[in-house]
Amino acid sequence: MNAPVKHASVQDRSALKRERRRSLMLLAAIWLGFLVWPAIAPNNYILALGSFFGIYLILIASLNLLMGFAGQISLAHGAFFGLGAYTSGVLAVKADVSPWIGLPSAFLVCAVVATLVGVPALRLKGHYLAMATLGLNAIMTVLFNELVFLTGGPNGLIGVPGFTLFGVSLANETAFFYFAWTIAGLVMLAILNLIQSRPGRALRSLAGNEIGAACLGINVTAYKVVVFAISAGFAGVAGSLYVHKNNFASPETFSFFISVLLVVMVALGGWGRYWGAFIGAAIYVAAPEVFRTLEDMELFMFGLIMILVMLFFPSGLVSLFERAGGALRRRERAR
Amino acid sequence: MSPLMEVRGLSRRFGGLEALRDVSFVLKEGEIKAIIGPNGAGKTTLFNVLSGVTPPSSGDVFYRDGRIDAIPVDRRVAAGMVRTFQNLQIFKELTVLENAMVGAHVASTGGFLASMLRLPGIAREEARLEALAYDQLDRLGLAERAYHKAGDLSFGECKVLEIARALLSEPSLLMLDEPIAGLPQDEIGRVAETIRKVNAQGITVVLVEHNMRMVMALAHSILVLNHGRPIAEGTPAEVQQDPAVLEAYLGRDDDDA
Ligand SMILES: Nc1ncnc2c1ncn2[C@@H]1O[C@H](COP(=O)(O)OP(=O)(O)OP(=O)(O)O)[C@@H](O)[C@H]1O
Ligand SMILES: [Mg+2]
Repeated sequence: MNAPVKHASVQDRSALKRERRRSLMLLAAIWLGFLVWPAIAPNNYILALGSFFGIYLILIASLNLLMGFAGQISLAHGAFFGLGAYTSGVLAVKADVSPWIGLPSAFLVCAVVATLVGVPALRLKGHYLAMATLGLNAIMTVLFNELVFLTGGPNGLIGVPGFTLFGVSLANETAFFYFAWTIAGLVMLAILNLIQSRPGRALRSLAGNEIGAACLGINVTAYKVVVFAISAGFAGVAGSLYVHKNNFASPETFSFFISVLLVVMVALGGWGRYWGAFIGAAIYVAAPEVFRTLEDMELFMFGLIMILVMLFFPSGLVSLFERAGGALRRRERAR
Repeated sequence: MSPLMEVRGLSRRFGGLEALRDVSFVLKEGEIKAIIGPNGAGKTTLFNVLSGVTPPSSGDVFYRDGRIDAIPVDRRVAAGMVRTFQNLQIFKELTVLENAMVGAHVASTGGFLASMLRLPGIAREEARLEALAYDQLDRLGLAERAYHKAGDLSFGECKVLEIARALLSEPSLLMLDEPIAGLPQDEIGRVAETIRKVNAQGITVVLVEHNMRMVMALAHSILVLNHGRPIAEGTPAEVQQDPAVLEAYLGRDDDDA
């Protein structure tokens, strides 16, 4: 991602620090820019799409952390989204637990389940995690449907309360937007911090070459399990936000199809590209709105666009922006 | 000098092929030991077994009084044993500098939680690592390539990067598998000098190399393998005179036919 620098000199020695500052500034700019959303959104429906953008951003960025950066394929991200939603939602409905406890509980439960699945599956090299998570998603869907006394079964979990802050309800669309956007910002910052650090480099190196990574002292299995747990935990956080916003959860929201769709969004945005998640999330939120007008052609058009993007932008739509950014930087340097 | 590593009766079979047969030797702390032998003699297999990439069929490996033949690869690196690869294990998607920084993995700190929260120590450690990695690349003549993707490097540059990476782990035992194969002449001198220098600083070196000039110039002792078996061991002068060695290298002995 770094443009080659011709003459390495003393001033280049803080290149990573410069890269870090640049990405922090971009993240801050995007985050602050979005704060105007409630002011420009024409109605509550569009405003709510902004909140869902934050939720899906967490989902897609956390899946990208696992797949794009660490090279491990999960087909159960939708199920962890659901597990987080039901954990937080059921706690609130059945045990009157505050969503503020529900949210970290959702992270924890998802991280623990991921660890239990990850330890046996990730010890082996190859695509065992993809297989294991395929099974996990099926099992979770069955559980969401069958544990009627907890989840409400196919009819869904109803009457989930919303978040409150200092006694003030966040049910108001604007208030919830700021809340969701804050959590999304924190998660994105945590992921950025992770990939720009020692464990992040370890993950990126084992993604392409496990033997090489192990021979430099990286505990490959442990790193894979931990990143899977963190990724699942963040999906759980997204689930908690979702359920307390919607006040309702239903099994089909977290089906295998959703897991596949999330993988597609990671690829469309940009595999292993930090900023790609923003594009993936934007598409995920906008696509149903755009395609709804096409009715029967929806799936057809969606498939076609996917193929075209993968043909012309194999490293994701984010490469469009990267090219523009690279040209800009080159012009700056030429000056 | 005390032994740093002791290998006893090490064997490794691949199906019917005995890549290593009953190999035993002692590695003294602070020495440079060369392991030589014709193609297919089992040198790389020996490295794979010593580093834990391949389990031995039988035999023991002791390192600093402990048996290490059953512990995982990464723990051996943490214990100070690091190796490079004849056929390269570079992280192609990372920059050269990042590759070097990964080399310092066991010689640095920073876990998942501390990194995600960017606790105060993390930024300092990152800066320290970057400077350390850059300096090491600079010493080996790779600084100009620091910000390139490692996948863009030439074969020779990758070999040098492997050495830089290994040194950044601050090893006590450095195992180099043909470090100068494919390198231009001026680079060979630089690598040889680096080996001599790090050895003078106390790092024990095991060197697998076909270039006899380099082996004779650097090695304190030499172990010769042929068909997986040790056929000679001694100082460079002794090994050079050994009839079994001359035959292995020059004569076509009967089981090759
Ligand atoms: N994984 C493996 N499976 C089967 N046979 C193997 C394997 N690894 C090595 N061998 C065989 O073991 C023998 C020793 O190979 P090795 O690579 O250790 O030789 P070497 O001394 O490093 O040779 P070179 O000088 O060419 O690098 C060879 O006959 C090789 O084909
Ligand atoms: Mg070899």
